[in-house]
Amino acid sequence: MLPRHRRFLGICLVLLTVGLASFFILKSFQDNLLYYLTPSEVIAGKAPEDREFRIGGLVVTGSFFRQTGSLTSQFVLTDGSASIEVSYKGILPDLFREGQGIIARGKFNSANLFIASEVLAKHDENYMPPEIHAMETSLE
Amino acid sequence: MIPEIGQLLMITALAAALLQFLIGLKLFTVDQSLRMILIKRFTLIQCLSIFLAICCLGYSFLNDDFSVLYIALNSNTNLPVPYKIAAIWGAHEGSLLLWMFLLSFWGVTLAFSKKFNDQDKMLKIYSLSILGLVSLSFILFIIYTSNPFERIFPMPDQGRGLNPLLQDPALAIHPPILYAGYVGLAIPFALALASLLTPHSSSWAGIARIWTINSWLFLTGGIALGSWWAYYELGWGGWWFWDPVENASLMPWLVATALVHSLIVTEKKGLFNSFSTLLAIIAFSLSLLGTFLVRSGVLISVHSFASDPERGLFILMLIGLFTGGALMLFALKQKRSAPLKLELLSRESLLLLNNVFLCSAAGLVMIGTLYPLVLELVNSEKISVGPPYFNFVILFPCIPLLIFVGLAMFSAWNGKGSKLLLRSSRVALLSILIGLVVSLLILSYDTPLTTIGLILAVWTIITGCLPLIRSRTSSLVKNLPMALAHIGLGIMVLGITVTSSYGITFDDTLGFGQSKTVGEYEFKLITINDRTGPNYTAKVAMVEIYSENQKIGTVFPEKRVYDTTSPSMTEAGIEANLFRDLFVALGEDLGGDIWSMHLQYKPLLRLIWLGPFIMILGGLVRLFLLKPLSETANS
Repeated sequence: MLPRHRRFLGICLVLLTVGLASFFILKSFQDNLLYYLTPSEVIAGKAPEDREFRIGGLVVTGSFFRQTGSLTSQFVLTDGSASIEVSYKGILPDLFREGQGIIARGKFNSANLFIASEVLAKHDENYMPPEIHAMETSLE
Repeated sequence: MIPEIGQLLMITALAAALLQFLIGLKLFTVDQSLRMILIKRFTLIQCLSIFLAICCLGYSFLNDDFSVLYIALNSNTNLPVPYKIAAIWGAHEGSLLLWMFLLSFWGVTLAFSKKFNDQDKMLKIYSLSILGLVSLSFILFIIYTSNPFERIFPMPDQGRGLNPLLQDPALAIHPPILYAGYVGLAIPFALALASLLTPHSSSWAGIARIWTINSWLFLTGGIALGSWWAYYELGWGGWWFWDPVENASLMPWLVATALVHSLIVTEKKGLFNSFSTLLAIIAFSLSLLGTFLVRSGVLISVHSFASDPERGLFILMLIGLFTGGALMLFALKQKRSAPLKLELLSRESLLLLNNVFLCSAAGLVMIGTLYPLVLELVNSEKISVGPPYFNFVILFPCIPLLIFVGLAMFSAWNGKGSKLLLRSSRVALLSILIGLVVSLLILSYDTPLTTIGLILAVWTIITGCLPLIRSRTSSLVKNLPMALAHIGLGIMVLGITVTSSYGITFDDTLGFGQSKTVGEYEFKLITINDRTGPNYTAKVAMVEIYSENQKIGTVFPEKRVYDTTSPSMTEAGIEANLFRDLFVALGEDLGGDIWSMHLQYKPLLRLIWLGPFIMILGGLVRLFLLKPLSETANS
């Protein structure tokens, strides 16, 4: 094999690897982007189907409901103009309160109930997920 | 009075840093030895002033001087004394002061180092001058935007108290360690730039390697400690969250690791000089980027950053100045070297290849961390990049990285590839065999990825041991640092693979006297009581853990409410040994004596922190055992 051929083959191999790697990386990037929507945007039909997304809103005061001894809780999220009913099975964050801003990640089930797989609240007084911060400042 | 002295000391440090910078420039016609004496003095004065300024702040903290805004916001009279000291770096202003002190401290270690030959005097003067410029900008930053000595009037009777999350021994020492690592990278940065200005000096690589290993040690320790803290303190039992703040420390670590390896080649073979220089510049730039991400408020919201832009903008400008300036200098002054002729599988090329993988790992982390910020800034669209992205893409550089880490142990400088493959094949087969046996027969088969992870962990550990087995006793100590670092890496990979594949974690309800099965273990909730701590009240659960009907331990997970802030804090109950962690976090009272609980079983979790610990041992051997050895060898 001539050195020229070898170099050509080498370059092709490198390009192929880099190309394949970037393809997978970009695809994974696309698949794992989580969109953040407000309840109004969800009602307007902007929610992606068949994949999880995040909804941010305030927990409506008086909407929180949980059967004694059950891990599943239900509450309503609102952004002031639209609201969405959320169901979550698991431990709620320490800072979960009615009237507080939270983010729920999940998707709708067939009965149009939003099944959350994760609920985020403010971390502490100083740190909170960016969307909650924006939401609270906009509603104040 | 004391805070004003602190203020004055900061201005003294500013002046010293300015002079340190100016003396390095060829503005004055003073002879070299006088220059050297002066620049050393000013480096020392700068460091001492900042140290005394920290002492002033500490004194005010201990005396509860709430007329100082920073102390009023971060302390109160009930805070235990050790945390009053840790509160010095508990928030933005103080942590920058600590950052600055560590920078000037590393500067002093460089100024008084005996590693420089007589020909390298200018290298030392230039690098100290560059460090002076870095210090100058950051002292200005502190004085103008983040002054910890600022007073408030009227003085409040009581302070707000330290964030309860930070009231923990591991977190109290975590920032100093991590910062020491971050700013330590300023030294190789300064040396690399100084080497561009002194074309006849070639010894920068050897000197830079010492300080790179140094800060790499601190970074490794800081990251591991942070991960351990997050595991037991945040209450969710995870050890890595791909949180932007974590990523900000991981990126410089990856590049610093690449830099350590690249500097070996530059020092021993005179190759990759430009590459090492570039890596040194990137490593420090990523440190600055980390500081920016954590300290600017940009992570809370791009828009909150825009509404209070002073601090973030200042750091952003500094990043632009240092990175841009350094790259410009690099473009203008880099030494043209002869075209490289590398054997495909020689040690040089394998090291280069792995550095490329390390840098691409850093790049992938950076894309995932910065992309949401950029997108929000550009079109206000809000997205987040979740852990699945990072967990997936990090495999692309890491799998080949681990393969080549092992292969490199068989390679020789300028060696031929055919021999290498032949020599490594037996160990490779052995590793594959062990990996397959363990994953198929001993553990239950999980996914192909688990098997690959196990094989690679075994491969890395065995090949890491090879230099110890093969070498004669005289060179044993010489090979020890590399061996330990690679064995540590293998152990960490083993821990990560087994924990993520075979760990069990879920939320469930537990009533008093009721028990739940987690893998082969049974968790039984006995009771829940109230307890009062020094500055909090808590609900404490008593959970007994059984294995095959034998009681193996009792844990006491807590839910604490601190006096100063309303939200409660979760303190996990952990029963751990080297082989597995059993973890219980208390959830909420669901009524009727039933509580929700977070339960988990994580096999080999401890290896994830044992690995970095062994890596650190390797680095310590290199710095403290090898140095005297090589010096005696020279004399």
